Amino acid sequence: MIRYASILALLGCLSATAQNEPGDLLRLEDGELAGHFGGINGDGNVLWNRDDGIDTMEFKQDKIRQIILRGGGNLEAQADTSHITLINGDRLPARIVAMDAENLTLDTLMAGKTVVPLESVVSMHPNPFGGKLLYAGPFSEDGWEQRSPGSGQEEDEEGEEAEDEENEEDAQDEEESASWRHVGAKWYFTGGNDVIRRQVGLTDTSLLRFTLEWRSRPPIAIAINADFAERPEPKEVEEDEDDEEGQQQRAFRRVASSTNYAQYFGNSMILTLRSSYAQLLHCGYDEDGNAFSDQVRPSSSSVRFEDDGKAEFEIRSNRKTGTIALFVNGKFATQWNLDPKIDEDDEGYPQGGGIGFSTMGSDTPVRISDIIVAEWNGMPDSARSFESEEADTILLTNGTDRFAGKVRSIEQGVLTIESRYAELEIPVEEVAQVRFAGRSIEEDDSMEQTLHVHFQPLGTLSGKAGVARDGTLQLRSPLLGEMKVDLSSAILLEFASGQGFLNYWDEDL
Amino acid sequence: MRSASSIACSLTLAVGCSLSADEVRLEDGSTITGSVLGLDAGTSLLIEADISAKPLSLRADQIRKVSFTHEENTEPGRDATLMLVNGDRIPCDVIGISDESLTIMTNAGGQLSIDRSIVSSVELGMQPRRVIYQGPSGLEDWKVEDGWQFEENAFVSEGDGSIARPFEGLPESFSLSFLLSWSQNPNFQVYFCSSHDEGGGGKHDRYYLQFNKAGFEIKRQSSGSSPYQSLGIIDRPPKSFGEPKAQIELRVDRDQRLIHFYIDGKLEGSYDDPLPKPPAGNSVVFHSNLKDGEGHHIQNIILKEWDSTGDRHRSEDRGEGDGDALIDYEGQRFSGKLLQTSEKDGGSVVLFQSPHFPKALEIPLDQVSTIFMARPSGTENRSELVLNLGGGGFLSATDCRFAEDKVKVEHPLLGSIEITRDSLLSMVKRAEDDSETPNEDEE
Repeated sequence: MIRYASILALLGCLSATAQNEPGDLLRLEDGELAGHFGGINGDGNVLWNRDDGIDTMEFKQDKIRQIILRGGGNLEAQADTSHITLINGDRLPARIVAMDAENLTLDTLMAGKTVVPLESVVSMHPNPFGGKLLYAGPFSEDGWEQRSPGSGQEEDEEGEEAEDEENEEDAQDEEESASWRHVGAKWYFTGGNDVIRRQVGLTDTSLLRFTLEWRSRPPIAIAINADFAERPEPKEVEEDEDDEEGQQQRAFRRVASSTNYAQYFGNSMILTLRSSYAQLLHCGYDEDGNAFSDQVRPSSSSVRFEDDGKAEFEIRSNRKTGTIALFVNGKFATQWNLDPKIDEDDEGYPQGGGIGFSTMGSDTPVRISDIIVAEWNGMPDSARSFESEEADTILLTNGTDRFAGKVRSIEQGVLTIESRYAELEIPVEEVAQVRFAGRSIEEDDSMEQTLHVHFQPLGTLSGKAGVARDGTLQLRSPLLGEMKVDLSSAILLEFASGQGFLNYWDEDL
Repeated sequence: MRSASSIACSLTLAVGCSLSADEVRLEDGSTITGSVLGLDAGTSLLIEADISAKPLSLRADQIRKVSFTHEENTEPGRDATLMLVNGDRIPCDVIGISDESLTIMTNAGGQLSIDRSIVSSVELGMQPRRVIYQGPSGLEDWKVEDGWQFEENAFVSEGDGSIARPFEGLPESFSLSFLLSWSQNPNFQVYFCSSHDEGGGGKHDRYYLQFNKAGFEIKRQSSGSSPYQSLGIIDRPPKSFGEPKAQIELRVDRDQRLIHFYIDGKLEGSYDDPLPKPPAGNSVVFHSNLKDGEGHHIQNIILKEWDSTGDRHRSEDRGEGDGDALIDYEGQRFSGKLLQTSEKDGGSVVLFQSPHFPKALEIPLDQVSTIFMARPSGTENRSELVLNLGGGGFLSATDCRFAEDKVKVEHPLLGSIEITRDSLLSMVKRAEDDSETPNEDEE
């Protein structure tokens, strides 16, 4: 059980330190500590510096959950998202320089020129999203908000005075009753009715990708294009207008729903995923302040979930065309073309830029990670469903073109693939992704004391940590060997990654 | 906007078709059945009907739809469908493509040469590659358990029992269709991908569709720990059918573990198999659960290969590019310029100029799934009259005139063309807000 008292004691200490530039945060098994990551010494102990005169502290790695560097960081507007995926699940942020029959040569921010055996590579993603990256995380709780049922307007009206009067005991109760816990680079749902939400600046055409893990196929609702609007004040209605017909009309608008999504997300599109089907709802408040929830046709679509309790979901939305498509594990699952009447409604298509997650009252634990929000080229293509066991496949950045064959080389910015019809030469800048035939991720949980280094805006590298000093970490990667990793673009050092999902819950929650 | 009267067809002659049951539906919803003879001076339609001693003359502006019936269609199925920029669809075979036009062979109008600038796309491989079974023509090769007989090209159930047959080489993707009719309350099941040649329970790997007073349900039967799983319930009880019959089609994609279910040509839904492996059996089993009395008629059974991959490509967006695009059967998609077709090694190849290869790619025509032609300007030109053709096609028309067994059509893009009357299924006024395929219910 996490000891909240110790957290609160430490929070008091750090309040004075993090005034100007964001510091680092050390998360232990039983608390948190502000300060600055000082490296890893020859004994394998993590060094931790404080601004308040306390001597450098040493912590054993197996007692540390994670270190959040530079306050979780801020996403750069022009962040480079090029990366490769390795067979152990690592995603290496890198520009691709060259490729031959044996190796892939990369230019990386964290380790300079790096040569990777081709057999260790599952896929390359030189231009993965077809647009600007808007959010990648969650590396910290910053920017996220937990929302409880009934919170909002009524709560706001109570004023700030009430907040000031809250004592530490209340704060502790609130912490303990929180439905969502941020651990590692993931959100854990522990039961309750709260939702999490965040403003990410969704554009007219954008995509939301995330990994969801579950114990028993939980229901989950995902909000997109949410404006987080509060319930508007009902318009004053003159008595003679409030006739029976008017009452019936409003009653019709309030479609029966087990969950009032508007109280959490305002006006939004809500995608609900249940055991084997998906539904899309248009939710919000009408002009009278009544929450509504309209189903979008088709009312439901079957979606196949794998039994391993984990899947990557991607929701692509195009507000201009009213198209929302769902992909599961890279394969097209279903698509909604919004009922034209949504355009005629007073409420219109929700224009917000927020996202959110709700488990719809279920108590089943879930874990959400690898959340990526990006602009998208607007193509509801089936290109991402283009897979072949026998051939390498290439998708281009235009969202439509794709080729299969044998990728021969990359040289001077040009990729060569021997396709069925000819040997094609494609500029790497036009390549969205390359998948190599017959390769898949096989995560290895057997390594003891594996350190996962997360990079901004995306990417993860795992291995056994060696000495770290002066912003450089020696890391022994099972696939890449000994590496000197520049931590200037690292955002999270994850010592206990929570790979054992069930164990984590059993032990800690 | 054109006036209602201006869209009337000008049937100038009584035509030599058989006195079959053509149907005229009026704007007020009433219908008149008889034999359409023609239009008088372009303003009224003449129909010979039993209810009148003389041919009836109907005001054209009061007519919503005219449906024609024909002798059994013996025309060949076409491999492709050409889409015009105004949305019209023409079933055809592609004979050749030049830098200016596409030459196609159609059932309705014979060989046509169509300017590339008015072609939106071409879908190829529309016809199944192979018909595995068409019947029934008897009980030979079928295993009859109990209660089933063969009568007048149909299997007829007269009690509780099954009739089954294995189909060697049943492909991973196939279509099973049949006409099911029933005399009282149906209680019927059809099993497919079955490794067992009898209906009923037990631990067998297969799918089945059942139909009873509650409606339809598609289920997965398994030899595993969960022997029955419902894949989908379709709320179409027997009483929802005007007549006690339904054209059933099951499109099965075992690779994707997907089943598409059609009733009377309309897709009711697509259903996932939640199990990791699809059933590998190759038998089809029809089963009646009725204890006695004549229960079910099954006729027009067609089992054929189905191109699930092509279906996915045809639903694909054309993309933002201004040039041509081509999708092949492996799913590869190329942007560039479609130059022309030519003959090579006894077959047709498409010469396609890709920006990624200095010479034109040579792609065999039989490997092409979909072609998007360069985005044209001005894509409207839809008239208010739609002629529905066989094979799922339809044409817009500003005017049409009947002569013998031909219909002369004024098309907003193609100009004057002549089609056979036999290819015409119906004429209908396009609804003002109609943006969907008008011929959906005619396929």
